[in-house]
Amino acid sequence: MPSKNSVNKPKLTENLRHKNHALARKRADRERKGLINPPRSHEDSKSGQARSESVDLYLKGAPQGSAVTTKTLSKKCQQKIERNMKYAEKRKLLTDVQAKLENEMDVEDENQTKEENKRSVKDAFWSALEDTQSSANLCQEGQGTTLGGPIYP
Amino acid sequence: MSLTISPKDSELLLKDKNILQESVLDKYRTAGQVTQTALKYVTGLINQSYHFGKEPRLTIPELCILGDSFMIARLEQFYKNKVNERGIAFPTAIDVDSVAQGWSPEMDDVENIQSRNKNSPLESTVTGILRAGDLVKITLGVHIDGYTSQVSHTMVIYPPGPQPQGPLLGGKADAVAAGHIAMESVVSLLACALTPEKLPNALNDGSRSVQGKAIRLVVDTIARSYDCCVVPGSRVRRIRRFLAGQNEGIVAEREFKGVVWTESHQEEQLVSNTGITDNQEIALRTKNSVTSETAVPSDDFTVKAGEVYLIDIRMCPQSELDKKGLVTLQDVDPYTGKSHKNDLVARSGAYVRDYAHSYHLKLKTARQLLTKIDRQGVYPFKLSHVSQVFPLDVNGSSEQWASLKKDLKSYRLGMSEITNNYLCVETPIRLTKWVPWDHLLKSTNQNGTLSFDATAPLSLPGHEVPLPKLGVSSLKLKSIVNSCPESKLLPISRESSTVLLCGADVSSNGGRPELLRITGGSKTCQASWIHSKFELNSQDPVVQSIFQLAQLTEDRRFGISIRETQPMREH
Repeated sequence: MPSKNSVNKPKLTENLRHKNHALARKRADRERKGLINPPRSHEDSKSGQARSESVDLYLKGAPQGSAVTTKTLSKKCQQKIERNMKYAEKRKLLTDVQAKLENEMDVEDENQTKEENKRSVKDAFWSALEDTQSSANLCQEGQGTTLGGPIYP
Repeated sequence: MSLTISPKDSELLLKDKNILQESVLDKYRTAGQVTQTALKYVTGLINQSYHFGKEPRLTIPELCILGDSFMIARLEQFYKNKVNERGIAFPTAIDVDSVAQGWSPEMDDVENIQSRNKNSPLESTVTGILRAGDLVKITLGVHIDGYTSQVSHTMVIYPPGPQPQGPLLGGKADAVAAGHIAMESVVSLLACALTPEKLPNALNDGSRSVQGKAIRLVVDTIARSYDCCVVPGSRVRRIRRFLAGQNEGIVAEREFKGVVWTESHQEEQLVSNTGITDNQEIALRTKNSVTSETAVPSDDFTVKAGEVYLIDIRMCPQSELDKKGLVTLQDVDPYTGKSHKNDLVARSGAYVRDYAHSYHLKLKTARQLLTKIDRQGVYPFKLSHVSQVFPLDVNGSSEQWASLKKDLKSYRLGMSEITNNYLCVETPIRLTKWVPWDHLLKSTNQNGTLSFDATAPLSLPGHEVPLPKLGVSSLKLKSIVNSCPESKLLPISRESSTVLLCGADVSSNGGRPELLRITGGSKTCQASWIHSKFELNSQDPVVQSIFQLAQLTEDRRFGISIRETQPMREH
């Protein structure tokens, strides 16, 4: 049999077939494990999230309908999950309190500030235009100013 | 793009060559003397033609070319074969009324200008013949070895006669008064930098030195007292060898030091009393400090001894306007057939070589012209300067004018290729325009400051957006000025002068530091006869300190010493 690197071996067809076969196998495997279902676009999808068999078992119980399964939940693991969930609840409470504090600090929406700022600039311009008092410091009562004299400089 | 120069060279060129020592001082003084004499010559020609009625009357293009010829002829006597470069730093420009800068037309442009501007409101500018009541601004300058002197002076044209019949009144008189007084006050304020203990209290922020803010305060106060506005483009700036502000906007200058007036300052002044926060201003400043802080003009600087300053102040009267408005500058372009109203259609007479660009020219005439242009250096030049018949003689035959026009014909061909490839940039002609604020506020501005005007010449770094608070870009402002039916041309006055702050070591005054005013002053830049109905309000503390400054300059013994360069005796 020719080796993998042999000149005579039809590389492209063989390798592609092998690769496609391997990919198909992997895909089927994932499908079987229920990883593709639901699809990533679905709102129930857990793609990208931490995945744990034991937590699933704890929350949803044993899968229905299948006769034999290897997925089990030991008593110790169950206790651990219970303890962790208790702590998670406490953490959540703490972040809620913090978020509330931050909200109270009057952080305005950025767009709103920009819009308001622009409006206040225009208002300021209008009020400056309507203000006729500021030009009153012109001094016109005196003799005025004369420069030069009756010669061509 | 920035040129790479070794630190040793830049140290030599920017620092060592700019130290005011006897040889440098002498070059400045000689340049100033030539400039003063040329100014006297041009004012003399105008007086002869328009006041004493000597025929034939010289037109503006003729006056410009004669002024340039005079400068070149006078320079021939000085520093021949001793310096590499000397010549005209600013071609003679004669701006009438609303023209803010750059009106120095060539002789061959006269017919074009007249045929394209049939209904122009700028009659004197278009016909080239001055009329009584015109404010004529003469600007010219000379450099010797890069040490530059520049002068501008505003002259009033009276009805012809042996002497003026009466003073000029009205808004134009206000502008002349404000410009003249501001110029004198700034000169004495700069002189205080040499003897800071004599600085009046209202202009002293505790640092016992002359700050940029004080200069702005003085000029703005005087402008306000005469109901005038400081026109954008005015500046009080430090100049150095070959860096005399001739390339502002074309080349970003590092370590710019000076006060500039732009549209944004008018905007700031208008809303300063209403107490709005200037967020944008802060944002602008912080952004600039990261990139190229020193190229951005700001008022935070101290005037020091040993520096040379150019004071260039333009004032425009507002007493005849019924609304508050923005004063801005409009560039004149040479294109006819535009959809909006044109006040002036003309091509600019002066060009500046842009050494950052390189291109292999195709036309032989263009290549020949570029060789000649490269000899002119970094200063603005006119095409007639490279002509064979230049310098012209005032009493010469009429053939010289004919051969000048013939030379210009071939230069125009070459010049179009040169400018099309950006080897030279036109120095723009600018008009002073007024737009009411309410029109600016009502107009929609969808793009905000994002729109970018690639054709806008001469905007200083950090001042690209004319109205940062309103968010109006220069492109938008341009279209508003063109479209607004209420926008108006305003007359302006202009005074400029170059001053040297000589410390005790170089002063000719027996070891006392003194300010050497190489251009302007009482001999050449006397104010024309005008009367303004306004006067400075002596209750104002800033005005009081302006009066104190005036007193100090008159006090020979205990005051501040200012020496003026006199024009040469007889030409």
